[in-house]
Amino acid sequence: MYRMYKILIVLLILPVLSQAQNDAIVTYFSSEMENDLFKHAYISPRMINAVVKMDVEDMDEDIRMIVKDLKGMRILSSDKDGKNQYSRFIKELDSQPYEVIVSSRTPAESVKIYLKNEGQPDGELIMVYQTNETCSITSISGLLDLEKIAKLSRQLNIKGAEFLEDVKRK
Amino acid sequence: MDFRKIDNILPKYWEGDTSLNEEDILYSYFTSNNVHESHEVYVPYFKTQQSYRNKKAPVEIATSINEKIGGNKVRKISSYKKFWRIAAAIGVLTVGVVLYQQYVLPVESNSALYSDTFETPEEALQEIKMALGMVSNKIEESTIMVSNEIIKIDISNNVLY
Repeated sequence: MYRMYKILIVLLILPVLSQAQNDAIVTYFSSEMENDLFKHAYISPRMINAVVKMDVEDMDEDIRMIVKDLKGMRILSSDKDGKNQYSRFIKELDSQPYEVIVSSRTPAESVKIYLKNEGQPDGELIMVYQTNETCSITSISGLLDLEKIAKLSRQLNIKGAEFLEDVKRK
Repeated sequence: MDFRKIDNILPKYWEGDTSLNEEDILYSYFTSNNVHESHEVYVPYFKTQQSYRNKKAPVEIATSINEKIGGNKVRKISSYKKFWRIAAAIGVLTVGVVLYQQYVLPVESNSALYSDTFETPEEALQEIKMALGMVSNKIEESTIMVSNEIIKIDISNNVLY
């Protein structure tokens, strides 16, 4: 009897659990992906698996250790109306159960980084970044170790301009 | 009695194609006293058959068979079982809908949403490094900014006190 109750409860909460599998961009900003104003890039778990198995010299072991625990990555970027897009993105994300780990605003740029379930397989890190007219939102899903990610900074040395100018996004 | 009618029904009877009504006509005819000469040969047969038709199974046998097959019982489903049946149906339906939403619908209607942008792992790695590097950079920058602010506050405190 008790077992049947448990089965029923699992069946009823399954939709809620499965909803959590979508990243924040799909959940809250899926309409923007069809908007011509935005460029969109997605890296699936299968591609991440292929990346991890790659035998390349320029992939440091630290990066491989971080990437192997990722489940997916999605980036949405726009080079128009950046300020408004940024405000809209953070307004939505601020109302969601994410922890804000970085919030910085300078005359040149604004950035806000959100985190959910760090150290768990269903973790997600979201970065919303804006400079003048450009704006991007990046979602990284999987088992995230913030300490390891923070250590990559000097090793990779990526600047905001390089990140936003990536032309490979569709 | 219309003997021709009997002549028409009889061949059907031997073939087993008669209706119950037609059989009743035959039996009542052959058990009557008004049988045509040409039909008298069938009288013993129909009379014998009629005696079997009139026999009914003893009530005890009928009752015992009914008891064995549970013919007299009305199967009652308790409300408790009903609840679990409904709950199971809802559960199965929910799982079906969830699986459809998670696996079929995304593939069918949002294939672009879940298809890889990059064709090779090398390209994907570049994008991953770019994103991780950017996140890492911003975390470090904010840490430095916070550290600088703390140093400024410390200096101010030292000046004041």
